[in-house]
Amino acid sequence: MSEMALTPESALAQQVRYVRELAAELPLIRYLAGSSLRVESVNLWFGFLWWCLDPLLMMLVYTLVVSVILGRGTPNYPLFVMSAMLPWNFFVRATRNSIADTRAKTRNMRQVAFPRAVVPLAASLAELVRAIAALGLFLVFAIPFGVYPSPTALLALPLLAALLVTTLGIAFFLSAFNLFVRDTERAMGHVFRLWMFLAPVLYSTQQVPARFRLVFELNPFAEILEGFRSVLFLHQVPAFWPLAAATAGGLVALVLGFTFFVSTERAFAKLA
Amino acid sequence: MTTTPAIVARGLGVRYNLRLTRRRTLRRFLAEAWRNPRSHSTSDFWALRDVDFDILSGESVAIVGRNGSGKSTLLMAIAGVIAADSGRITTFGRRATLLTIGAGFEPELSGRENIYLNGAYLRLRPRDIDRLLEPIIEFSELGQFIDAPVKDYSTGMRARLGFSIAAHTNPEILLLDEVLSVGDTAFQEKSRKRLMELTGQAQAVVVVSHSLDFIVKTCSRALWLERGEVLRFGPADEVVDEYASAAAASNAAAAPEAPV
Amino acid sequence: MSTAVIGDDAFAQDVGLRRRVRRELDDLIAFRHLIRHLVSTSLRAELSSTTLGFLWWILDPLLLMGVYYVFIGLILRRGGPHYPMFVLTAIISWEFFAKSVSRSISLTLAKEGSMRQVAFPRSAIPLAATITEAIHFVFAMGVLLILLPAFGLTPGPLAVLAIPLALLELVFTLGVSYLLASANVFFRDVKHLTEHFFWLWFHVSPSIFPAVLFPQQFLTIFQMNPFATFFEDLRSVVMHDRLPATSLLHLGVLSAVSLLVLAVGFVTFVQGSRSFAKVA
Repeated sequence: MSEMALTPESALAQQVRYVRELAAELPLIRYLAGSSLRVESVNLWFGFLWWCLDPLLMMLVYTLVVSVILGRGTPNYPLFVMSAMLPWNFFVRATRNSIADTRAKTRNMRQVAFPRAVVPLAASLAELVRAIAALGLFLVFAIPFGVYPSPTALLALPLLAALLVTTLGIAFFLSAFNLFVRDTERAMGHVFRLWMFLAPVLYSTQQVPARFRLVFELNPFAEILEGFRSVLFLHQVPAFWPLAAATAGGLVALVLGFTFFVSTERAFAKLA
Repeated sequence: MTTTPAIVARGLGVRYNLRLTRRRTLRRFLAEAWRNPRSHSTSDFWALRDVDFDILSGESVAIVGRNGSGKSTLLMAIAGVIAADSGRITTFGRRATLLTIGAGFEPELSGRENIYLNGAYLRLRPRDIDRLLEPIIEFSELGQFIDAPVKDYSTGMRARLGFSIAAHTNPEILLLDEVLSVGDTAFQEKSRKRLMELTGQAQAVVVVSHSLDFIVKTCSRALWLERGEVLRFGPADEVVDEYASAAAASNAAAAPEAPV
Repeated sequence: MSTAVIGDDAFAQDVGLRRRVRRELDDLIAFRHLIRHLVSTSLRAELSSTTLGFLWWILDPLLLMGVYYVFIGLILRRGGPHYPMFVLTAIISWEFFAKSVSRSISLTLAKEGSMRQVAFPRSAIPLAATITEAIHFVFAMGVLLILLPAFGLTPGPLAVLAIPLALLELVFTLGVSYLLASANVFFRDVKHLTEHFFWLWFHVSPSIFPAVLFPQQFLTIFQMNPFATFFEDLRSVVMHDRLPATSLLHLGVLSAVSLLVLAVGFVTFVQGSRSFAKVA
């Protein structure tokens, strides 16, 4: 990491320098992501299945509760849920791990100088790999249920990009914020849960009572999640402009979140 | 020195089941058990085997041996921290205190609070600790830092506090695992003196140390462990001599040939 | 074999299981100050690590209740009468169980260092963890009782029956905590697996929906779930000032099972604790 600039830099120049340093740390990011993935795999197949355990379990439980017990399900409900649950799970885990790892590494790595943005990036990268593996498995396991993969599934890739961008923005922001307000981590469990119930994961936006529809539409992930459901489950190409708007919003979130993280980084070492 | 026993070992054996203690996850354990269900015997490792000795009241005994010979395991067995898998080990009187640096320290609590916590681990009542509080603080030389959280202490400070607590709780059987090399020379000298006092008061002292000098000076007998078995148990100076020469011999044998 | 004289004060290790259990129980009493310290240290660590401190003791169950109220009450519109209090009662009861187990596992792991150095009754650790959560439980129940009138329910004298119910849950919880805490020392993924399984367990219990909604063909399995009894009976006595609907026979069986779980859990833990310090 280069020495502290002695001449005052403009904020923009500082960001650019930071991003360049970050790019130089790519091997570290890959290493951190890899080690967190490796910890869980006894062997490759088993590892894949283990990565799906979280969303699989959630799908099972919510199918049971919503469809079986409360009778509010829709046809092929398990797959309906899973197609949106997988990307949602990516967001939750990536953000949660970013927050936790940033807090842990800030304390443990005080002696080593490195751009801390490495941590949320590594956490998100690891979860991205998991998500891709899980999506692949989903396409395979959907076949016995009569849902065959179609070319629209390829659109999942740009959707993943939009998802990643939005997630990173939120992850950066919250990881930094948590160092100032320590309760954040504790509250996030509740926030994520509520957020999921206010998102089109267990039901589509149309099924929701009218007074909540506005909240749903304000949710930055609503379009992206409905998009995943379209391409993976309904085999329809989602509408372009709403998705483009969501992606643009995601990029804005990324820039804002990243800027917040970088500008507060100096204060990190004194906290935690 | 009387001839009543303080610590008695008969055929003492301690086994480590590597499958349980190393495998770490249930998944891996099940996977391995599935693949080779019969290798039960090969996954066991005897850290101590057939150990016999009588340590008498008033004695101080050293345990010597190479790394991995089972010294720490033996101390843990005497302290009751791990259980014997064969034979028996019996301590007379109250349980033995294993003195290590900062046993059970809670980093968030202050030194003072940790004194009470440590005392609780040693089964002392709060009012017993009240009496010992000032002497402990004084001996540790921590001054006002006693009220600072332990996580801010240096290793040396932690060692001083740990030793001070153990030195004042009058253990009946004192077990030392290579503790005396911490702190500055003045503190080490003070600890050595205190140790001598404790040795006089305690029923027995068992020391593991690499400092053969210290052993000969403070211990009456020494026990030589090699790969979990007792090679010799006799007067400290003799055993230390034999151990030292054996160690030198094996070093010479392992030394590479001089370059031509 | 042994020629040494073993007097009353001798501390021999090769004693049988019954004596070992009895010795552990005696030790728990002798080390009661340690248990007190472990509890107060846990509580103190909690309070210092967050800004809101003890408010989380009631915020956690309240927020969870709020989230399920939005989900099931408002969006799915399948909540029942007094739905918020209906859910809150179950949440408070469940969190006592789940957090006790979780804390027992974590605390046992955290004290590994101490276990390697000092001989103290290891069973003190899950006991301290469970006592900590019992304190949270009492606090949360207090808040529940205060909130009830705001939702049109008045607690009555029968609410005092919550105490034996809670004690029964305590016995069951302690047993499970002992079992899983000792398993986790040897297999580190037990904690992770437990969390997943408990989450499933919560949702197949009548926590966020009443028992009558459960598919009838699985009724027997459903009723074997101790929490079916704990939740529904707690609601009866606290919310409606009514005697629990569960038969005395059923309660008797549940008590016996809970005591059995505690016995098995405790003994397993005591046996396993002999090797805790050996784990690398």
